[in-house]
Order: sequence, then structure tokens, then C-alpha cells
Amino acid sequence: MCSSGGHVVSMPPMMQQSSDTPIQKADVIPKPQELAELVRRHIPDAVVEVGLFSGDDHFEMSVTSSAFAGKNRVAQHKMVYAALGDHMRQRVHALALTTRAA
Amino acid sequence: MTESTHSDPVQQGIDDLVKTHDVVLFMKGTPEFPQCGFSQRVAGIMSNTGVPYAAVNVLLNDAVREGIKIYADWPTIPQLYIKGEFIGGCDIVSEMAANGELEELLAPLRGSEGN
Repeated sequence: MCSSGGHVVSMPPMMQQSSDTPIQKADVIPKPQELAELVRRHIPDAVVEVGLFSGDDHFEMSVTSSAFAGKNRVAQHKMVYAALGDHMRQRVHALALTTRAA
Repeated sequence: MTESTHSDPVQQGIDDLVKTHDVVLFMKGTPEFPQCGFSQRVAGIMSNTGVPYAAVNVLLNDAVREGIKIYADWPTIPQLYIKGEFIGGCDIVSEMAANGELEELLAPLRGSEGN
């Protein structure tokens, strides 16, 4: 079959030291509605749909807001990630995200 | 001459990587053996483009795994960089692959030998 075009590169030696402190996993997984509320709190006119696509910590979310107007997708997604705060780093295993300007 | 813009060696190393390769994908696992569905999806998209890309397995290095999130100010992996610029994660790259934007970015990088 077709070979993958990717070649694996390794880190320079100075980057090989690993950090000794693993990220602590918070015990409590947020409910989809809690995530939606966080987004609405930070992006007031946001229309948020959120659900689970696998297990209890794989979320999918779509957000529509006038606050996204004129912003590229990376900036739009960053606004949502900022609203979710530490949840993104700790308790949300996966978030499939779609954003749209209203 | 080395121009050091990052005091953190990990940030500097990531910066060097994304600036010395036209296309870099930070992923969990490798293109042949991806270890996360999102990484698998983006690696698959990139491999289908036929444009060579560098793949960095963040699972081999905790400092890079966390450092790349700081570098892009982006909390998730995979992360795709083209010409030193952060393009997005799985959702954005998938959307760009579907609507042709990805091909627009990659077209100038296609070598003459690459059909």
C-alpha cells in the first residue's frame, strides 16, 4: 500500500530529559452541561451544543458566537479553550470542537 | 550564528524544529503506529497529501509533550505546523483538508519530483 510520507524526527539531546512531575489528574470529570456553561459565561452570546462521543471524558462541542467574527479558527478555538480553563489540561481527555461566527 | 529567542531549551528546541522543517506534526505515536485517534487522523491526512513531513512522537518525551502546548498556547495534541506557523489540531486540519485550504498551503511545498 502507499507508504506514509512522514519521517520520524528525534529531539535534540538537550530535550531528552523528561520532567519528573507528571500532571495530576483531577478526580472529577465535568459534565457536558458544565462545560457549556463555562463557555457561555466567557462568551456571553455563544450558542453551545455539547455531548459525548466516547466514554465520559471524550466531548464534542460546537460553539456559534458573534465574538468569533473576524477571527481565524485557531483564535476561535483558543477562546473556547480559555473558557474551559483547567478542564482542558486535566479532566477533558478529548474535545472535538467546531466553531462558527454568528 | 544562533539567535536564541527562548530561554527555555525545550521551547527553543521546538522552535528550531518547526523552523527547520517545512511541515511538522507533533503527535502521539508515529505515522505508522499512531497511539491516539486524533493523531492517527491528522497523520493520515498528511500522508495522503504526499507532502513529506516531520513527525514528532511526543509520547517519547514528557518535556516536549507539555512544552508544545505552551509553545502554541494550544492545549491538545496533535499539532500541525507549516512553514513555522501553527495551523491547528485535528478539527481544524480536518476541516482544512475537506475545504481545500490545506492543499493551498501545501502546494508551494510540493517538489517537482513529487508527481
